[in-house]
Amino acid sequence: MSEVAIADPPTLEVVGLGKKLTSDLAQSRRHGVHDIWDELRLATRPRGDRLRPSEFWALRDVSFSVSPGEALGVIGFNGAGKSTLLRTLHGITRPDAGSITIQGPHVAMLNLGAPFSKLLSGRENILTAAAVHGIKGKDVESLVAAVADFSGLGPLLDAPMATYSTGMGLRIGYGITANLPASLLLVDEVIAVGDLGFQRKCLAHIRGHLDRGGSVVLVSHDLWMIQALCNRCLVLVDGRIEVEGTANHAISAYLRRARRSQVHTPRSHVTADGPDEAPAPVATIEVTSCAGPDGADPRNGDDLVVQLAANAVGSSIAATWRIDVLTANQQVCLASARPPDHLATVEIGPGPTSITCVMPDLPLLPGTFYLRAHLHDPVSGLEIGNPAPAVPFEVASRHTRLDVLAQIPGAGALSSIHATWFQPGDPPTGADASPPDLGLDQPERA
Amino acid sequence: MTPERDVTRFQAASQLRRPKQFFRTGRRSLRASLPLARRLFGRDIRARYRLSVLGYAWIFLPVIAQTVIWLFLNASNVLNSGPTGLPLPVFVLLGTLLWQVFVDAMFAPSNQLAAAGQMLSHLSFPPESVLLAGLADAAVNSFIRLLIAVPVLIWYDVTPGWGLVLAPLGLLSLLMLGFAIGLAMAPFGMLYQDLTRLLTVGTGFWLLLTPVAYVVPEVGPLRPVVRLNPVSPLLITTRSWMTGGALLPGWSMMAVVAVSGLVLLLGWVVFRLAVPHLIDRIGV
Repeated sequence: MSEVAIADPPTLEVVGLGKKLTSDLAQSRRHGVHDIWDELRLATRPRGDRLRPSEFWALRDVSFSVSPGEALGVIGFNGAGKSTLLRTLHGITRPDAGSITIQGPHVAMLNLGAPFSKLLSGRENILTAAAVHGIKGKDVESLVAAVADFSGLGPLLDAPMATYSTGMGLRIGYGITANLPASLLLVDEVIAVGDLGFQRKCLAHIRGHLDRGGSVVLVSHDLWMIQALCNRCLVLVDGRIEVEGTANHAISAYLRRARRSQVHTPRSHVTADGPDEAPAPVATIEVTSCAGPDGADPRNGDDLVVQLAANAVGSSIAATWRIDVLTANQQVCLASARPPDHLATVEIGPGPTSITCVMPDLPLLPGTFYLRAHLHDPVSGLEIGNPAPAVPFEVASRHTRLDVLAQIPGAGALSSIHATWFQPGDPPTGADASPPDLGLDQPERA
Repeated sequence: MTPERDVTRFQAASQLRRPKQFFRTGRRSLRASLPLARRLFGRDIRARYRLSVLGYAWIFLPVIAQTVIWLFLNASNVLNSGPTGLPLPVFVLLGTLLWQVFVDAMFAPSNQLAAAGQMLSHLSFPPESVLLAGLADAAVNSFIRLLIAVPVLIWYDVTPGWGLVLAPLGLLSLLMLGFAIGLAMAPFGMLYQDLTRLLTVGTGFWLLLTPVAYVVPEVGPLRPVVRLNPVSPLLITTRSWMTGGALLPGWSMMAVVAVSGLVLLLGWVVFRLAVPHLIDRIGV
């Protein structure tokens, strides 16, 4: 036998993976019985591509591979098939098409609390989990010690788990999984639930795993985490891979898609969401565009140009415009100043009436924000437009949000302003001094 | 040098198409499930009675209550047990205890699977461990419960003799029969609750058709029914072993044991094949 040097095979190789699920409960059970029967009659490719009643492809033609030392992110909207993918990769459910090949042991973090009994102590539960993962003898003791250390629970480890907070249970669950031997780690949105200290520990663990040549598949809605950890990323849409590329490329595509789907979702503009006694809206509002001066994504420090249009329902009315910028969790972080006197009250007719608002020197750091426009009655101040859906927009930068934040103490800031810095005895350096080097696109100032 | 790695492969084709691999994985899974089953059993026992005042007394209470009711019915001449050849309390108590062994083992698989939904749908582990933990639970409960028969046997001066050596085999046969029936029904009971309900309701009638509190009548329509009942030979023989009766098991008992062994093996194969599909269907 001649020795042939072959490159390391990928840790995970997925070829043409398909998985069908059923949306109807009664049908689902019937299909379940048929599926078990198919196993018994030695079917090679049960039912092929044919879908049975109320069946749909939860995953379709999914192919990718993950090499040693590589982390692959998987993002997508709710119901895109991310969790199904991880459960199929872990062998919990079986594929309906294609194949999955994994080199070496694989460990999944799907639901960290699964084997735990609330009535037993953390320590007893670690012993159960050790048995679930097939750990024996001396290794059990070292696992308990390692998890105790990772969780930092101290004497609380012997208290019943029912007295733990969610985060404490999470630490135990993660600690167990993190200490199992694995070449492939499958992680489903479990890290984002913990506090900052926990997240740091998890990130450090995953980075260590990658440095040792392990591989990771990470499913998360936390785009920062994907950006921070993953070399490559997939965007799953309705069970198919829509985009595959670098993390930044995939995230941009995903955000673009999020915006498009929100704008294109047909919404009824006439029904008010509020209680019955709320006045019916007398005007509909549309955000026609929300972008930088060149029509592309606005950059930090650029102007944000917002074009609005409104239609009066019935006869024309007088109204005052207002704009709010919201964070991803829908908190207002910027509000427009009142329009100048000659535009403070405008006439909104039954035909579309448009107006433009420029927010100069956008102080927002790169990220996703939402814009919502309002119309008020100039006399009473009551809102008279229907609450238009908030429109997402992205503040861009040459650098990623994480790079920027890495340089700023107090990560998590939404906006930056041009501050002045000096020490006792220094001549004050003001706006004429060069801006701090944050890698941001600071506009030239007069 | 890279260490030898195991390669895992998941495909759409039936696992039985590679029977060698299927049974090798199955054997490995079964072996791996033993220590886990022990741990799960301990977990369940400890957790079960932690919220109860009477605690472990709950192992005994149902059987004592059932025996008292049988005796009460008999004393009221509603039930005629026939020529038992034993003091009636001994006869009824042992019958009830042995019946309970069978019933506990029969309900173990479906109860365990229903309770393990979260684990099954989020963790990859030998699924047999859940069943074995249930079987161990049924067995240990049964053997502890049998302790209450000891003072009763002494009180009525019933000596088991050599039969006592065989009695554990009788208990095992009851466990196996119950577990085999339960295992065969469990996967489908998980999909269709009708099956588990039917079993629950049916067990009440089944008890009445089993010679738990009476002797198989010589004549009448009950006789063929009771004789067809697979529990009857196991229960009658085991009770006679425990009370100094005949030692030789009848052909019917051996047939029942053989058939339940076969059902157990087939049930295990179907169970292994069914688990991933059950997980798809019961939801997360």
